[in-house]
Amino acid sequence: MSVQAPSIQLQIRELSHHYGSKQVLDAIQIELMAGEILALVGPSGCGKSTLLRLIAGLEELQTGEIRLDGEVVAAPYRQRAAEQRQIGMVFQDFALFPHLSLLDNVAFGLGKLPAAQRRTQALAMLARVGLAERAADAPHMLSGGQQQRVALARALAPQPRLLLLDEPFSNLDVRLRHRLRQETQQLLRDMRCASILVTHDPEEAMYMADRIALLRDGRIIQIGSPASLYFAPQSPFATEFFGDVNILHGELRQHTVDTALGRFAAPSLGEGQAVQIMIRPEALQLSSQASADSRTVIVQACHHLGAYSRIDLRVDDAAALSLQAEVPGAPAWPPGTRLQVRCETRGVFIFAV
Amino acid sequence: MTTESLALARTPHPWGVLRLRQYFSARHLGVGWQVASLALVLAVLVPLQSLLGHAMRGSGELWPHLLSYVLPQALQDSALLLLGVGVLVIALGSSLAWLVSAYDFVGRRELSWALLLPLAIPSYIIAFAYLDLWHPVGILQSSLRTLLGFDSPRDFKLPDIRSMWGCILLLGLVLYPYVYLPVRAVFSMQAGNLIEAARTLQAGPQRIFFGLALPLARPAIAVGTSLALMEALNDLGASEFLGVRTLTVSIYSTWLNRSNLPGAAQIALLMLCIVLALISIERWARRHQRYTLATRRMQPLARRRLTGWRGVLALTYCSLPITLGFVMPAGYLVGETYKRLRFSGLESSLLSELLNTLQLATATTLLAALLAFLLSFAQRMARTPLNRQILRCASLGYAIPGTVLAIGLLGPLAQFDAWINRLFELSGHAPIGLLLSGSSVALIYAYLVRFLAIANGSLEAGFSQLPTSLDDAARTLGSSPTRLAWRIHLPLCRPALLSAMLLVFVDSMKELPATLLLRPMNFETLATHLYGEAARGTYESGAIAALLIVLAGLLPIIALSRLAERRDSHGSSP
Repeated sequence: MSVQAPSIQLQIRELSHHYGSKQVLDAIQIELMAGEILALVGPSGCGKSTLLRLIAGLEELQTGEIRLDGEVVAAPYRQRAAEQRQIGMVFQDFALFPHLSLLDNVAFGLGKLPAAQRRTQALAMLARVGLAERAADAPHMLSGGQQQRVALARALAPQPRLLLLDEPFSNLDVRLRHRLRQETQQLLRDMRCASILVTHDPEEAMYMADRIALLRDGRIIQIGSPASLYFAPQSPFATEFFGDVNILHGELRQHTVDTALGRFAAPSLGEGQAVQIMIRPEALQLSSQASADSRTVIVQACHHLGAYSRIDLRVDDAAALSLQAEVPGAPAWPPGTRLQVRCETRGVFIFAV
Repeated sequence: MTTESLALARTPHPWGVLRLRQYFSARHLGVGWQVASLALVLAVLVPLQSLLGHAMRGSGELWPHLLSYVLPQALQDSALLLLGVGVLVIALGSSLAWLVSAYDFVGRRELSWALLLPLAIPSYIIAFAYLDLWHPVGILQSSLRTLLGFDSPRDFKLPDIRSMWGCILLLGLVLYPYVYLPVRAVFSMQAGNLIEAARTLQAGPQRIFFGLALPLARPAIAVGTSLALMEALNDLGASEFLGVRTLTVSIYSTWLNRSNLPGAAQIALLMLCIVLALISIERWARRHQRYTLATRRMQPLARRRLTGWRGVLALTYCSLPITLGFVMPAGYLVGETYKRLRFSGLESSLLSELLNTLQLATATTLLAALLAFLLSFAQRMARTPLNRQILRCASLGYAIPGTVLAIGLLGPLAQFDAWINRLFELSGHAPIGLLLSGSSVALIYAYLVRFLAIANGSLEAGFSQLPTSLDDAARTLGSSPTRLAWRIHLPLCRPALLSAMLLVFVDSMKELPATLLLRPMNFETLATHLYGEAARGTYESGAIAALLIVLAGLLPIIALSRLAERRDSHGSSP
């Protein structure tokens, strides 16, 4: 088998959208490769669900262009109806048809095939999500996780050119969510189906996606690999969205800034610039031995969270700055313990204020 | 936020270039349906427009006559009737609803649905029954006399039922369920949390009822009362039998006895103003409804047990309206029917009348179901402000009293027939006579205009319970709108569709005022037959027809109570 150059499956150009006078999407540009999984993340109301509905054809496009496989499916005044786009979708409430059996639900999108073939294909798809023996059951007889699997099977059965998932795990409890996102990702990989996942959970996005697009107020403010969003955020918003941070303030002097935790370099920012320094909790390394660049902190409280612990700290100086550190294991430092802290620069981000 | 307000928020403002385009685009259905639904609205609005035309054309000399002889009496009687019926249905409806929702006593379960039974009795039938029941030598007064120890009507006589107060009492007895039903729903479901909170704050029963429950139920009371008052305004039979000269009666006699269409149209317009006033009062009274609904979580109210004489008192109070409003008139009809069948057998004309009634009701029901489904579906597919208005307009017909509607239809129907005949003449054929005005088509048209709103309401409620994600799912799975309607909406809306059909069927079966004015020559339905018998004073012979109407009217009540029971058992299962 020869290795093909990956082709562009979905292309969105200059897409903007208004509800009344409110702009919900602003000049969105996205390209999605065949087989790629993209996560759209952002706080609620950032426009991610609207973008998904526009791609699906469930909302009327106002400005911009959407191409699927190189063919224009939506441009102003020229839109292909949702039912003619061959785009599958998994909904937040699963939207299983309550009056149809699981088999009929999955077969619903195979309308063009002869009945016998429809049945075998639907059954095969149900088998892939492990629910073949329940084919005759009604949706309400299933648990939430099973319903989610059927919804996925139904959306994938017609072999869509693109799969959209709108917060597909948000109705499930945490444990189930973790298992299902793994299963779902596996299925999408197996079927090599280009997919867009909408979620407000950054961890879910980082787990599932090849790339993540972070939306805020209708704009994509950063797009890239999960690692690049976590370790190279380009804004305070992105930094805070993907994890908790300790925030320190300072002013630049000769491309460096002095803080209660030591001196940090910010070569790209100008002299005298006020900055905020964001430090991820796991970047704070605690030890009992002092080193050249360490500072003394006092333990306030230890919260054991299983595999790791959160430690509330106070810097031992006049300002008495509060900090949170994250360390592996379950250390048992009583409050008042004096420790040494140093920062790992990989988790430190400096932005102009 | 409710789904409706969400949809509202998503609907773009109707002005502005981009917005204007959306205003008129029925995205996934094309213009075809839009034209069709506009035509439907026209069909509802045509009678109103024609009414206006006739009233304006009316010669000036009519007004002095109307003003000095007809209107003062009619206005006064209508106003008194509405006031009396309004007070009675609010008092009866809300007190009964409170009693069965906040308290538990022997027989409560059975009574709480039996209190709906009077709905099965149309106003003209209760009046018809009581004319005989209340007669000085009738069963009611004779037994009262025996009970009290009098022996002749000269010694003891109840006031004549043929009076304003009699009319108020009888209408109130059959119309209070319009208030009882929605208010009970508020008390037993939405108000639960709050009433329990009030109890923990040491509020007594009186304070809870007047200070909390009643204000909470105000929107429901407003809806129910306005429906009841529209029925009261629409009533023709009861007022006429009991000698109350309301606006409806005046319209009817102005047209039928004096053949004075402009005069009738003028009174009809006046009546329409009253209807509009009623609607606006209702809207005003429930302006905060969305707010109250949105903030409550459903919590059924825990009932307090009434024992001893308190329980007996509650039982008696609840039985009274059922006895007076259903058991006595229905029992009377059964008795008369039995006598009639025993002594003179079944009238041959009755069968054809029954057939006429069933045919009309069936045709109306099927058409109303079809139209309502299409309208609601279209509204769901393209939630534009225009469609919202269309649905609202198409529902306007319910508020138009039957006589007003009939007067408004007479003109357009005759006009249409004239056109058709002219067309036939021009093409060299013999004129075909009265195609619409002289046929049952006119009746079905009138029924549809009046009852489409009921079907619409039921289907809209049915549709609103289906999450829109079902539509989106079907569409992303390649379904055309037609397949979506057929495979998803129709099966899932079946309960709503069936209940809509049941309600329209029963309402068409018992419709009297419009039927009287629009029916073809020598065409009788059960209702007009009954009216004719009562007008001639031969009450007994109308009993069979009346009983048939009441029996049909029982169907939706039985369905309703079965539905409620099923919901109860669903709710109590773990």
